[in-house]
Amino acid sequence: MATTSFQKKARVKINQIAGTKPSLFNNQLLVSSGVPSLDNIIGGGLAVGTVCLVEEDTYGNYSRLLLKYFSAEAAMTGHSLVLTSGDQDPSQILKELPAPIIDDPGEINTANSAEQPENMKIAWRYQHLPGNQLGHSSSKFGHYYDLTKVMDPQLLTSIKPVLIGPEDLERGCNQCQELNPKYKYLLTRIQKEIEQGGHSTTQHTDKRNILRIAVHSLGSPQWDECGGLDLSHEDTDFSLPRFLLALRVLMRSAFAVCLITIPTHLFQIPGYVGRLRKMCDTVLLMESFAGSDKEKNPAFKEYHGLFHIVQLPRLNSLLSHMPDTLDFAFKLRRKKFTIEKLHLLSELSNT
Amino acid sequence: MIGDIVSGSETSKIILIEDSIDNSGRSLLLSYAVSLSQRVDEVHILLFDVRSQDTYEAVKSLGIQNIRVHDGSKDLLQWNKTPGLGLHTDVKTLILRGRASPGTKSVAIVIDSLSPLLTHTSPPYTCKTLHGLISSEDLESQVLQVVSLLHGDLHDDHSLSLVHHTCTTIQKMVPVTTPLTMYCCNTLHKKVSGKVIRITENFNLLEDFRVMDVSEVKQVTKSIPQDSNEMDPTANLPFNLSLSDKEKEARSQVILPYTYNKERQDSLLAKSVGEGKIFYQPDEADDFDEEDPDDDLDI
Repeated sequence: MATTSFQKKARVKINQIAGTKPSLFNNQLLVSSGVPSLDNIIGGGLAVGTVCLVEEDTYGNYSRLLLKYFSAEAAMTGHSLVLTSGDQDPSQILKELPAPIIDDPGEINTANSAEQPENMKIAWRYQHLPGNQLGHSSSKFGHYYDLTKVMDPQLLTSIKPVLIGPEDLERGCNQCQELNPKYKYLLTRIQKEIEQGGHSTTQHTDKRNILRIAVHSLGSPQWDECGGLDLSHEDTDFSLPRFLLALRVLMRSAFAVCLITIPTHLFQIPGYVGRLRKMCDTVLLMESFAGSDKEKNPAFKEYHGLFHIVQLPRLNSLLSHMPDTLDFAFKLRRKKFTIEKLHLLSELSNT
Repeated sequence: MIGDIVSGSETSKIILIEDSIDNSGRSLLLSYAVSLSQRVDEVHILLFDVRSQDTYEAVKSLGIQNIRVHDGSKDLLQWNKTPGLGLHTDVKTLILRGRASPGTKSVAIVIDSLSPLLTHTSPPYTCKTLHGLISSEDLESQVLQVVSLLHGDLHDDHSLSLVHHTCTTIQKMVPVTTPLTMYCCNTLHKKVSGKVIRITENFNLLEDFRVMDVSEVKQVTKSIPQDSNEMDPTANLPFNLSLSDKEKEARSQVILPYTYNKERQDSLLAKSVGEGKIFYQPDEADDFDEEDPDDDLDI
């Protein structure tokens, strides 16, 4: 079952960090990605100290939405936030964060059960189980958001987000041999934030907090990245895999989580994207149907795109978490963005 | 759609017209310039191509006041150190210097074409230049739109994909499908709301470069043939497989073995642990005899 009501017998930790929970499968500390349906698929949430790579869809809309959910979750749980974008001003992204739904999940439950068609006659034992959409989430982990409303700016200023925009990247970068200067600048900024915020594992602070780092559209042409090629267009430019490796090293010794979106459809060197994937922990790929032939396919009528789990991390264990299926699709409704198992409609007569 | 984009009812920040030798896009570029001249205070046309002398002549013949032409095609890479426009000059300072009236609020930039820039410099530089042109810093007025022409057959797919990623509308000139119209183009428009529209249209351009006679080219798609003469297997049978209403009602009355039964439900909900309760419900076939059968034994 994707959702489970199993809860470990909680021995309250002395220093419990807000907005985190221990994983049910191993003892990893998890953080919500902002989309509860995504958390259920990847094993409860994103592990602290890891890098999550989201491979963007062709027009970047849905990956930007995931980034917004991630940032909104930071505001809700009080985690610190670092937001970077090379394409647009990050304050613009912050202005479009969805507002949280403050009702308790109990209300959502009753609303849904009222819609159930008729009482099940033969399968009556399953009647009390929750339907497809409802995820079981305890109250402090994973919030639901309403996309039609914008988050209150007060909530955001309380966590003091650090924004690194295209101008900062232009001004701050210095010439560098091994690495693209903008990536180097971003690394130094992240390192500074970790140390100043007390998020490093070597520092001892009274109140631990998680640092969320959201990078929008890394590797787009605005970052001086020519799709993996260097200036002579002959050799491969390995700046991006090096950056990801250095970032992962930083993450492993900090109480931080990183979400990066990369437009991998722009990288046409064979094997390059594979390198990027190996350098990150969790890799997700969003494939939207907009403007492609799949839009007209009747099997995909309800959904807006396919959601692929490319890689899940093996953290301190031999196995990664394996979801019960790998066919997922996402749909963006007016108020909500959800990731579900791909259901083929029963109306398709010729299949 | 193309009429809307040219006239400005559909907003788009960076427009790219991709043409080729067989299908030229220069006239469409000029129609954008003409339409923009009515909507903004100043239109700046940057010429980089060798063929852009035609554009220069056409614009001069139109005689529109607020179009300013900057010719950079003579000395692209500035080897002769001529002042003025070259590939690497900062366009915004050039525009600021050439500003006639200080009170201009909105500006539009038309580039003919982007191909020399893409050839002589790297694709990220071109993308960054395009992106930088649309932002209003360094320029006192707001840049409404940047329209540029690009020769698609001069560049490789990789560079083209990077430039496409930066633009919000891409119009590719394709061969005309009907003999009635002169031009045909395939438009990919990324709306601000996130919706993406892809449409192919035929259109004409008048002498003053206005867009006319827009008609959509409908794609002929192979639809799955509807099996309309699907045989109904229950049709020609000697026996009846369907149920009448009375029969349906009788069927719903039948008590199935594992259906909801109040006593069973209560026991499940009561959840009495430690007490094994047996609920026996006799069927019609069962012979429930109250007497103890062992009474007959005479021991």
